[in-house]
Parts: sequence; structure tokens; C-alpha cells
Amino acid sequence: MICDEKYLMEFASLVRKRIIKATLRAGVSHIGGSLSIVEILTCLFNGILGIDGENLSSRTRDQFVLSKGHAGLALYATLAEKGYLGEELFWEYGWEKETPLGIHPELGIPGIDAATGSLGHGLALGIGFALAFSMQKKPFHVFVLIGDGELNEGTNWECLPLAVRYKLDNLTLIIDRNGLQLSGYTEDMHPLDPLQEKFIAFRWNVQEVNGHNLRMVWDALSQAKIRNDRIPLAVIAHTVKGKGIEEIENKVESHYCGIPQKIAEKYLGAALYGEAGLRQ
Amino acid sequence: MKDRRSALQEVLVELIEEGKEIVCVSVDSASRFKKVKDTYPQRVIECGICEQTGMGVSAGLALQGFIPVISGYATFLTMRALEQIRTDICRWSLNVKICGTDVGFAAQYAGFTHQAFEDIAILSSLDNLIVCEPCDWQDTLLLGRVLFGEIHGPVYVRFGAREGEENFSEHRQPVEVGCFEPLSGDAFTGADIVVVTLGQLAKVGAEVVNGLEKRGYQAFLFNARFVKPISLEFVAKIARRVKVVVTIEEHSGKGGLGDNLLLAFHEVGCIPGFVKCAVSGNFGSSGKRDYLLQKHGLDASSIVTKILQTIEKGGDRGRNILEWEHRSGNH
Repeated sequence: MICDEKYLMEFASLVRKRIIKATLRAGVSHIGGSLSIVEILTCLFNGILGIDGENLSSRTRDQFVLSKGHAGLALYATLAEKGYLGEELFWEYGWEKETPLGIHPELGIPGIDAATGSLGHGLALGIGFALAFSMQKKPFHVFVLIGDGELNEGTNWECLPLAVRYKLDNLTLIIDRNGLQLSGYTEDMHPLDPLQEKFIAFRWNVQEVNGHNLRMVWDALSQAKIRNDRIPLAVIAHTVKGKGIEEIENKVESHYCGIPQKIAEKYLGAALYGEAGLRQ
Repeated sequence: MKDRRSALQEVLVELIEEGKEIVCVSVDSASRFKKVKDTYPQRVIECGICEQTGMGVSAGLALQGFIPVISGYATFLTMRALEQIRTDICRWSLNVKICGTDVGFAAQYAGFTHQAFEDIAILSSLDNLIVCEPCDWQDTLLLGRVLFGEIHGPVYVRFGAREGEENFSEHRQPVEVGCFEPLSGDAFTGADIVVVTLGQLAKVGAEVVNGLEKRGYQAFLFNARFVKPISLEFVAKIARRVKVVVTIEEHSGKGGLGDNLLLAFHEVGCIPGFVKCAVSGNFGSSGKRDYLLQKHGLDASSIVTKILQTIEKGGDRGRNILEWEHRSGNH
């Protein structure tokens, strides 16, 4: 796996712009939590996951579970940017008519491995995948991307000892640590810190990265995939909710909102990445 | 012991031997998979006391081509993990087999927390899911082979008490999804009274049929097997050739076998006289099963009396229901 950082930056920039355009069109979206995971999805779908146009619906490849299903728009935008999701279908997001492209991803769309949206379901599904690969001795990896607010759900904590018991080193849990959930800051709502220590206490390995630094995300996820230590791994990706649109960054309202045309145009017409990465 | 739970294990081992990708998912309920664990230990996954996680893991395994069989107390599986059953399994018709144990009064002294009287009502509202209960050891073998080995899709099998589960009939009828199993003869050709029992209450049903015949009625016994789906074609055949239908179930009177069958009669447009014998209310209590069954009128003598009283009141022409509809304005 080669990290072509320049390509990844261009890709991430296009995904962000797609999210902005789709939000404009739909009027509203879960834009904050979609923008916070753009770099993570960019890395996953550009070489980390063994996914290509030929094996989109296959179960015999690496699997990805977007447990924070409300960020489905980010996944759709990534799939569309890869050419895996048709342009016409992508623009159905937010349609008044019936569409398979709802806010939360459903099965049946090529490239979507798990239907998610009800928080706290994704990790158990991912463990099911990982156990299946382990029993079948298949060399595939499972990535589960979860929101930090989603860690409120008790099912996640049920899952942690299970992954340890079965020594699932073919499973990586990525936590989108943007510090916000629907109604407020995670630490005010339902404190998670010290998060790293919690995972260590559950006998998981933990790695912390800047979730918007493509090189760091790439290195962490590519190493996660090839490990063979019989210990499940959590990658805590420190991110910013609404990343890339200053006006909504780190704001509670960014969870589900629209963006004014003028603000959207400002970002759609700009280069979102500079030499040093994502512009602040 | 030839109980239904051990029959289930026989089937699972057989199916694994035949090459089926069965995986048993335990939620600290591995005793229900003992034979599988002894024979194929790698086919049992222990999830701990985590019904929701167990259900989610089962969904993941099913998406990867396995046939997960998850077993545990029906109360916890069907209520605590209901959302996973609905959202992760039934929505996608995943091939997960859910075995809810200790339904009805089976948990006895454990009391209402462990006694399931709502499981059918809850699960029969879910599309794609088959809801059934075998009546004895042999029936479990037959149902298990069909529902776990042949049919692709989610299934809920309920299991009750673990004593007195001797076979009710040497000669069993093959499984047809949605159809009841005739226990009074090879085929149903008509009767004054049809008695449909669910699960182990087939034994009580047989006593009821005897009691009715002694009083001069021609009665016929079915082992329901299925609560969902119920074949309308099959139901129409019964409706045309009977005066009174009696349902007997170890489940709440709301949303169980009786209500589902009544709905089926309604859908075919022919409602015979109907006597629903079920548990009153949905919260059980601590006590010996036989005692509690009797308290809720689920012993043969009480049921026969209830049937005769209904007939005396003219309920053999379905009038009870029609009168209610008239009174409530539901024409």
C-alpha cells in the first residue's frame, strides 16, 4: 500500500465539496459528523480496504462498517468520488421521493457492507464479520468506524471483552473523537475521558492520531491491517466536527443543519488543502 | 432426557456433520449447545451475558454466510435484543435462528422476570420472521431440520418446560411452513370442535379432545407448530368444516396463537366460534408450572368447561365475535 498524499488530499477535498453540495441540495444533513470523517474514509477507500470496482458487493474482501450511520453522506460521497456510486443515485440524497440513499446506509448499495444508523449496533456486526473471517481462515480485515458520542451506548462496552476473548487482530475500531454529540459536548453529556485508558483497561491496544492528518491516518490504518498480535485495536482519531467549514466547526448545531448558499460557495470555490494539509 | 432442547442439539450436530455452516451463539447459555460444544467446540461462540451483542454478532455471521443459532431465555432475547432482531436481522431476512427458551411458566420459581408471555406478540409483528414452537422431541427434530437446514431466513423457535416432553405421536406429519400438524389423524376432514395447541400443551389438548368426545362431540387436535406465518388456504379448510375452534397456548391472550389465528379467520372471511385459552395478563409469578397453568385455566378440565359454556351460549356460530363487532361499530 503506497500513500500518495497529494492524491489523497485532492480526493478528500472533492469528498468535502460533495458533502457541501449535497447538503445545499437537500437543505440539511448530518454535515458535522460527515466532515469529521472525510480523511478517515479517504484513506480507507484509497488503498487501506481491499475494495475496488470489481468486488463492491463481495463478502470475501475487507469489510467496513460505518457504525455512526448518520454520517452516511460522507460514505456516499466517498463511494461516488471513487466512481462506485452512480452520480444520479448520489444526487438522490435528501430526495422527497423514495430512495435507497437515505440518511442512514442500507444494504443493497454496492460498497456498503452493513446497514447502520441505530447507534451501538456496528461493533457487534463487525465482530461477527471478524469471527467469520477468523473461523474461515480468510485473510480479510474489518474496520468499524464509530462516533465518540455513540460510545454512550452500552452495547459497545459489551463488545470490548468479546473481541479480546477471541483475540480479534483482524478487527480495528476507529473512533471519531470529535468531542460532540447531538445535544452537546461529550464530556458534558456523558463523560468518556480518559478514553484511551478505558480501552487499555479493557485490554485493547490503542493508538491516537490526528484524524485530519492524512499521513497519520494512513500510517495508523495500514499498520492496523497487517498486525498479527492477537489483540483488538482501537484507533482514536481526534477530529473536529464540521471540519473544513469554519462557520460550523466544533459547534453543537453542526450535528444536523444546513449551510447558507454564500458560505457553501466560499468553500466550493476554494482549495481546501494547502501544502501543509487541510487549511485551518 | 428426550426434551426439545436436546432434540435441537441433535439436529444441530447432524446439520454440521452434513456440512451446514451452523454456528451456535451462546449468551452465557452454552448448556443449550452442550452436544455441539462436545463434538464441534469451534462451532460455539460465547458472547457472555450480552443478548444484544449476541444478536448483532449473529447478524454479522449471517452476512458472511454462516447459519447462526442463538439461544437463551426468551424474555431477554426477544425484549432486550428486540431492536437487533428487527433492524439487523429481520429487515434483511438474515439467516439467523433464534431459540427462546423458558417460555410460558417454564421458569417456574424464577418468576415473571424469566417467564415469557409476550414473545409471540412482540415478534409476530416483524416481517420476514417465522415464529414457531415444536410440541415435543420428535417435532423439534422435524422442525429443526426444515427451519435450520432448508429454509433461508430468520426463524424464532420457542421452547418451554423441560419435563413431560414425551412424543405425542409415533407417526408425525412432515413440516409444511404455515400449516398445523394434525395429531388426531392423517388429515382433517371436519369436526365439531378443532383444538389447536401450541408447544407442549399438545398434551393438555389431547386430554381436552378426549373430554369433548366423551361428551359426544367430534373433536380434532392440531399441533400448531407455526404462529407466523399461518397459511390462509389451510385456515380456510378448517373454517369451512368446523363449528368451534379452541386455541391453547402458554402465552398471553394478547397477540399470541389465538389472536393470530383469529386474524387469519378474519382474513379468509369466515370466523367460526372461537375459544381462546391463554394466560391472563403478561406478568407471571413464582410457582410450580402445573399449579400456575391451573390457576390460569390451562388445565384440561377448565378448558373443557370453558368450551361447553361457550357452546351453551351459542358461541358455536361465531356469534361472540360478530356481536362484539356490532357493539363496537366495527362492521
